[in-house]
Amino acid sequence: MKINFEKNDVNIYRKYSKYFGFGFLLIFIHIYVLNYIEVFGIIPDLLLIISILVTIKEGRFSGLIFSFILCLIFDLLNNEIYGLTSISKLFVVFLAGFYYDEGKSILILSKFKFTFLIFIFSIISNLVFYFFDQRILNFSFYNYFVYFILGNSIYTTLISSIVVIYYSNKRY
Amino acid sequence: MDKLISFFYKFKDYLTFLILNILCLFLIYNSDSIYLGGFRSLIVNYLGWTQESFSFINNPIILKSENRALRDLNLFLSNEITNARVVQLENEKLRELLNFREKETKDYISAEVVGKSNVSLRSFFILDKGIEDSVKFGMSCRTDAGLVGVINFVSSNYSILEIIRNKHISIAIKIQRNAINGILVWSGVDNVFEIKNIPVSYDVKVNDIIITSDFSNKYPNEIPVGKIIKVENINGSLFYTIKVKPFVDFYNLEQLFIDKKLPNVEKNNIILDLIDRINKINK
Repeated sequence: MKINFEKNDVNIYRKYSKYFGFGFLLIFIHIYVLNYIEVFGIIPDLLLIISILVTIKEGRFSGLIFSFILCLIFDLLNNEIYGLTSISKLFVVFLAGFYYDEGKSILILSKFKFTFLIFIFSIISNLVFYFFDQRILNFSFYNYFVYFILGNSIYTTLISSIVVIYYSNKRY
Repeated sequence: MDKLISFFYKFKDYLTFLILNILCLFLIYNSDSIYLGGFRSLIVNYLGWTQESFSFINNPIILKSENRALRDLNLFLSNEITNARVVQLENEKLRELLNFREKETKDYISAEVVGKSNVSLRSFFILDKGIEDSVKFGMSCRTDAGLVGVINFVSSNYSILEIIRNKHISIAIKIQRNAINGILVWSGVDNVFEIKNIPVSYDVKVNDIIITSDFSNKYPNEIPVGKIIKVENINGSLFYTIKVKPFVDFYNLEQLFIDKKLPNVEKNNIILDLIDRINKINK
């Protein structure tokens, strides 16, 4: 029993180390690489994808903690307003928590239902970001919605299909 | 206590969500705090250093648009260079003309008006230049504004200038715009001259510039004289009565230039000979 408990602890540490390691890699890609694949100034939201992925796999509580820490580190490294990215991800992670089903996450991740969820959550996340970011006051909401929110959501959805392809291969 | 723990465990998602949101809001509204400012500057330095390290990697999309912009700029600059060359050539030609005119200024003697006199209702100016300064009888005088008169008498150090504002003076002039010739005389009133022999069928307008014509042997040609201030046709006459205001202010004239060029002697003599012959025939 004790041995199993320790083994479980190690597994959990490894699992979350992998998640955070992958998260830091995505932060690095987000800051230094995504500029080269931007489309009309729009880049995909990789942190959203990994936050939703972790939430669907591990549950709402883990997702909230994970996305908060990861997005806070992102804000720190990207010289953003601290907490802005975190708060926009917390809302969608909370909603994504309703899709958590222990042991059955691969059923969602391997289907294009996941990309649809990413699209919806991306729009919600950007709306929350717009609400809290006082720097965007000069933009009209309509222009911001059409150009940034929709554009970002579509691009993020396209990138999230990589996750679907990976998990569908894993499933079969 | 157990109930409390079970309560927290049951609603851990909601409580975590609430606490983290409060934390985020706190961070958002204190993001420009002094305590974070130092940390932020560290981060900016770090980011700048790392991004500079990766700056050697070119973004092909940005390069493409930059190339397009540079091509457009190149074309624009090329056109500007062509225009500049044309302007430069024109400038050189104009400079040559100016040099020619500068040579002409060497043929001018600057003089000052040291006295004014009236002899038999004729007005004269006394100038401070004479024979010793190469001034000769018949030389015309002008200012930068226009024609003043002609040297009538010369002594060693002084000369007498008969200004055009005299009743007996007639000047062969033309309208600069359309080269219509006429004779300009002083009206006898103030600073107003008249042109009387231009037919009404000719195109004469107010503000036309009057200059000396080629027909005058007394005064050099192309020297500005004045501007037309009034054009009228009195009593249905066949000729206009044209009032001209001279460019030169004779009341306040103090400095002028004496043109060294003398009238053509042969041209003058042939006119005088003709006048003599006509007088003899009439007698």
